[in-house]
Amino acid sequence: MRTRELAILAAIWVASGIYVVPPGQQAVVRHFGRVVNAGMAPGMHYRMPYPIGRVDRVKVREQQRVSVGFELTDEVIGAERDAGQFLTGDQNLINVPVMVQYTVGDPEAYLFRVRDVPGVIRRAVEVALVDVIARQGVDYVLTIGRTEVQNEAQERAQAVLDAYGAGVAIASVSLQNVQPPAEVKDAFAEVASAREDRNRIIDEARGYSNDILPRARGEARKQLEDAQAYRDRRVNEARGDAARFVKAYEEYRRAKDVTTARLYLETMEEILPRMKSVLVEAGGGGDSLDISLLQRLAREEPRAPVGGDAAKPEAPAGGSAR
Amino acid sequence: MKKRSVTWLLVGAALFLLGASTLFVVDETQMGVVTQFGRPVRNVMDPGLYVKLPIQSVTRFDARLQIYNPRPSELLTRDKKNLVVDNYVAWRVKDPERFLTAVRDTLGAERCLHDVIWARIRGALGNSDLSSIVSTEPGQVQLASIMGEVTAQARAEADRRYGIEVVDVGVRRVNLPEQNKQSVFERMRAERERIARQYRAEGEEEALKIRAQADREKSRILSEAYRDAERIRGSGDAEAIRVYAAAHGRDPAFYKMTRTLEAYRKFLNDRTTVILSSDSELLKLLSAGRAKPAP
Repeated sequence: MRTRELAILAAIWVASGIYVVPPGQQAVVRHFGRVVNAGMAPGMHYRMPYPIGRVDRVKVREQQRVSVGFELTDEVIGAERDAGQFLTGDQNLINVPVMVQYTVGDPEAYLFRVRDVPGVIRRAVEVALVDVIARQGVDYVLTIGRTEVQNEAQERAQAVLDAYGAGVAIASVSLQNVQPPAEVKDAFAEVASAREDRNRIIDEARGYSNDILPRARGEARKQLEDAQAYRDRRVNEARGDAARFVKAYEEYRRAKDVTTARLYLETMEEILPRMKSVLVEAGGGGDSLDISLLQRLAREEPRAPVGGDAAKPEAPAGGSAR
Repeated sequence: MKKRSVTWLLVGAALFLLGASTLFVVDETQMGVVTQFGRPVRNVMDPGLYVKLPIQSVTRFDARLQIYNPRPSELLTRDKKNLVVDNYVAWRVKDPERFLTAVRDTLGAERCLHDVIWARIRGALGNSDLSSIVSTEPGQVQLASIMGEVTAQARAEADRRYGIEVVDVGVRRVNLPEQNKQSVFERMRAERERIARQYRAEGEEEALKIRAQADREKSRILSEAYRDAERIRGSGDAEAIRVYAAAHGRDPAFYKMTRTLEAYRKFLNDRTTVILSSDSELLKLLSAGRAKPAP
């Protein structure tokens, strides 16, 4: 009976050596503390049961995170004020919170070569950041230098980690919200708004230019068109008048006397009725004329009687007027 | 039956005790040193199962890379700038025997490392200008190589004295003392104000230039348009004159007559008084009678 129980216990103990490696993970097997297999792939395997054998599983695919300069909700670094503050090349201070993503590249190294892997990663990245930021001006880091800072920091940090033999591969180093220190935030914001103002003022001036120049050109075009219209009108009028004159002239040439007389008489016909006329007997007594008579006539009706009748009421007959 | 099982039990227990006092395991993460009456006998560097004498004992140390991170300390650069430096030391146990004798444990190791390293850092950075630590001039920053020097020197001493391998001495922060920060912030503020002013001034200057240019251009466009328009009008006038002259020139006398008659039509009106003599061509027929036809 005892033997059977012992056999059962032994069987259980042996069976406890079965283990499973889930997908996406790798396992490291130790016998008496010494690594015998560093890369067990996913699946079901067997190793010597405890206390001889031990299995450690590592999530090789999963990306893990470490924060630099600020606290993630699930870890505490030891909150210092301005923990993420760095000195820039132009002796300014700047807050640079950074998120690091990494994966396990070498499970054996990751498990057994370094104590506190996240802490080591954090420091490697910090050393890199100190170096990179110390070479740049604050404006560069705040604005266009973001990507370069990230890439350079990742490169250097990876080199440090490789030198330490940590067995991790940094997937990304990303700058979170890079800010100037709280004490000078306003002054920095002022610079950004000053830059905005500058661009705005220049845009307004360009707007002004884009407004008045097309209008001036339009005005210029209009002036030219008006001038051309004037020229056309003048020339056409002249041509019209000239053609009319030439036609009349052609007629005139055919019968000069007659045409002259006709034109003259037609004109007189038209204009004389409009005017006040005084008919005066010609000859004898000279050509003197009574001005007062004319003035009176001018004040009266347009028509005046012909010849001596007109003179009769006022002046002696015969036309001798003083 | 009972006696046999008791015997087996005793045998098992004895074996167990024997094993416990002579076998030991050193893990992958550890290094060990076998001691006899407190005196180190031999190192156990590689992991695995080992044998020792029952009178001997085993002390195990963490063989992994460890970080020693003292509190940040202040130092003075060569050009008299105060800096607060936060550094760490990446180290591991190299020689367990020496380590046990000189240092005993991690706490002791950290104390000894501090002695070896901080003085070197303060000396190396105290011998450098601030521009070797932070600078925008390319090539001026030497911090990495300065720390590399410190590491190399520290490595030799720590190995010899403590059996410690100093893997790296790194600076994770360089900052200014709190009391200095105020003046630095003021400087930063003043500098930002200057930059802001400059931006605005640039904007004004450029805007003025653009507007003046636009005004000049507008003036040019309009004055040229005026000039060209006048020219066109002038050519219109000239052409008209030419056309008139060409037509009227055929018979100036006829033109004068017809044009005068037209003028009469225009300016002689009901306010004009005209005096006609009875022997004028127009009225001749009145007194002379019917005109005789020409023979």
